[in-house]
Amino acid sequence: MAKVVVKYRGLLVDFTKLDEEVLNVNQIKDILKHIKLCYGPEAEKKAKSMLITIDGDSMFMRKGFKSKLNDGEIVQFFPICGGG
Amino acid sequence: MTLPNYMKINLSTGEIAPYPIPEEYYRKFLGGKALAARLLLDLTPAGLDPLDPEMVVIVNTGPLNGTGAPSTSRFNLTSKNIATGGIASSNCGGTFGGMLRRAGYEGLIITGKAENPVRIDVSDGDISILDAGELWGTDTEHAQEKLPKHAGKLVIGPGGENMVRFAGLASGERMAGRCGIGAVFGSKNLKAITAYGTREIPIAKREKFYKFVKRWVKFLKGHTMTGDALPHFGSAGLVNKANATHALPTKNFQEGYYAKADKVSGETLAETLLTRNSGCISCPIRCERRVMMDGREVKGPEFETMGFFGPNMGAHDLETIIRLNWLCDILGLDTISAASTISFAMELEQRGIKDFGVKFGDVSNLEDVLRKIANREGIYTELANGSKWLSEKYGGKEFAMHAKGLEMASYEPRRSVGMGLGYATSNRGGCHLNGGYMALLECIGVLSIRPTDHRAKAEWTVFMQNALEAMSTAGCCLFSGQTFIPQILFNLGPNHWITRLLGKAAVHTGLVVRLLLAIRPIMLFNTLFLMPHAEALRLATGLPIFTGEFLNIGERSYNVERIYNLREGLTEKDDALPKRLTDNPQDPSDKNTVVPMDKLLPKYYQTRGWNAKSQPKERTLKRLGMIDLWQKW
Repeated sequence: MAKVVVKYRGLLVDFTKLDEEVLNVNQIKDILKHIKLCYGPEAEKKAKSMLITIDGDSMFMRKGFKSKLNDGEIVQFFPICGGG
Repeated sequence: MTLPNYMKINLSTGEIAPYPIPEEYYRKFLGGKALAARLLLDLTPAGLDPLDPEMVVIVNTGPLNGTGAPSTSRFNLTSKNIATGGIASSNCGGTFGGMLRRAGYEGLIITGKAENPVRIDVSDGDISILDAGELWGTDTEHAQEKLPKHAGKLVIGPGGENMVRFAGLASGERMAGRCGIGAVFGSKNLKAITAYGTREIPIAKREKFYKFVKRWVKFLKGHTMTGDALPHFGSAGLVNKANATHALPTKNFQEGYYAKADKVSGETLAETLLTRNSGCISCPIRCERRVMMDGREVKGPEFETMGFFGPNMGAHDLETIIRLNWLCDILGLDTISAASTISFAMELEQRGIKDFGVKFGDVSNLEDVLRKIANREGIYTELANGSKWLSEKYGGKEFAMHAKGLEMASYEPRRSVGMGLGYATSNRGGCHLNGGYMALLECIGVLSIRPTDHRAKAEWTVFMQNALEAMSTAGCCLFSGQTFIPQILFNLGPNHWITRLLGKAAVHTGLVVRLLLAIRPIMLFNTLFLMPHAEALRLATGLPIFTGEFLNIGERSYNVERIYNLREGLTEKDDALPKRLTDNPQDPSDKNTVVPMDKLLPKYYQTRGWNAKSQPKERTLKRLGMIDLWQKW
């Protein structure tokens, strides 16, 4: 198990009611399980549709939902944005 | 059909006269930057210096400006760019465009040079050239305070007065920043234009038009991009996204990832200094950030400014970025070019080539530096010439981050190779929007079309460039076009296997896009989902504008601007990127993290119907109804 900081951004905070928490997890999918368990399936659905980063990198630079996490890493959930 | 009403104003002689727009020009180029580029070809001889009194500046609108259709407040300025020697076009939101039309005019063609500082006033049909002596020397904020409150305003600041090569114009708190047209105003002693009017804007099928507008607004509000993401975070919300895919320029594009990017992200801005969001008239998106600065509310920075005054300088001070953004606006400087030029100077210092007193990681003295640039004080007059000029004097062309002389935007193209192609081929230079904004499809949006894969990127770039160009021509904000990405993908999210599969499969869609471009003559339909702008144009103008013709207008615009560039001496060699991006992999362990221009560019020219010298072929111009411009270069 790795001790990671999980930060929630955008509309996900409406579900979690907190900006961040520390979790002991192995993979990103463990965090999603935690979200579903604590904040409900709608929160998990929202979280899954967001950009997920590990220490600023997209999780797809590793192994997506199966990315293995290390102690002290920061996992963030960002809403999709547009711009120009 | 009501033809647009243009006036020609000669500041040397004081002559003000109507300039009739041929019906053929209107049908083919419509308005905005496309029509302006066509007029510029007629009105100026080849090789005219941008600061020559005879140089022309065209300030014009598109047929949807001021109509109340959503996101249609963008007006255009076109002239010649000092930094690139090619076309200059700059685009701005706010009230000015609508006011100009209500005053009775779709465009102003300005030439000559006034003996003393002047401003042009357009009031309900009357145009006057007025003394602006007391405005000269003021910043854009103070100048606008001295102008009539009820009018739409367009002013230059000290940057324009001193002919800084990247001087822009302010309209309210909005900027027509890019391409240095503020300097052309300054060279003409033209400080400002004001416009006020109460006239009704002609709409061919008024009832149907407003019925459609209601549907369009509802559609925009219901789409994740325009109804949720942009209103909540503005473009600043892209900082973390770009960083997550290593597409955030860091330390003058030396890297694409900044460990502390979150400190200058849209999310952090929203949690700390944001007071509310705001927007242009008739825009339901409301992307503008309002933020606190020294106890007062000001316009917040966009993504480009966050990235360039932050990570690209190795810094992450959000309050300083807000202040520098505001300062650039009141000095009348383009934030992208100003910040990128300073970043280049920082790298010159880092390499021990030249010390301008700026260093990566230290933004504490930049207020002073910006003021000196705007006023061309001491050695900072060299920074006022932009990064291309600096690299020609001091060396470092391989890391001067511009294309054609215009500094690139805040997307690292080695992680978005289509965006790299867009920067290189964009007629106005290193612009993400004129370049087709492929970053949206490659690295920062819901879909990710394999960012380092060159396949199908040329075709998509052409498609996107044409579409964005057509929207600009109509007077639309390009944000309104982001709804072409199907909502279903946002519902699934970027992590869903379908979205990811689509991203991977899209590199095999080159032929499909070419087919789409080829069947335009039979695209005799309009739909809310693909290009709602076309239907709005059809109803507003009464012209038979369907999706195919809408894209044709965009393509004509791209070709006429290209022809202007060719005439002014630009060649295929100018469709290039600095070597840092083409020869040095961003990730040294992954040779694919470069922009493979050798593979992209030939395909791009082929898709455009241009030859290897980047000249439109005869049959291309025939197809577009522009054969009169064949070999006019």
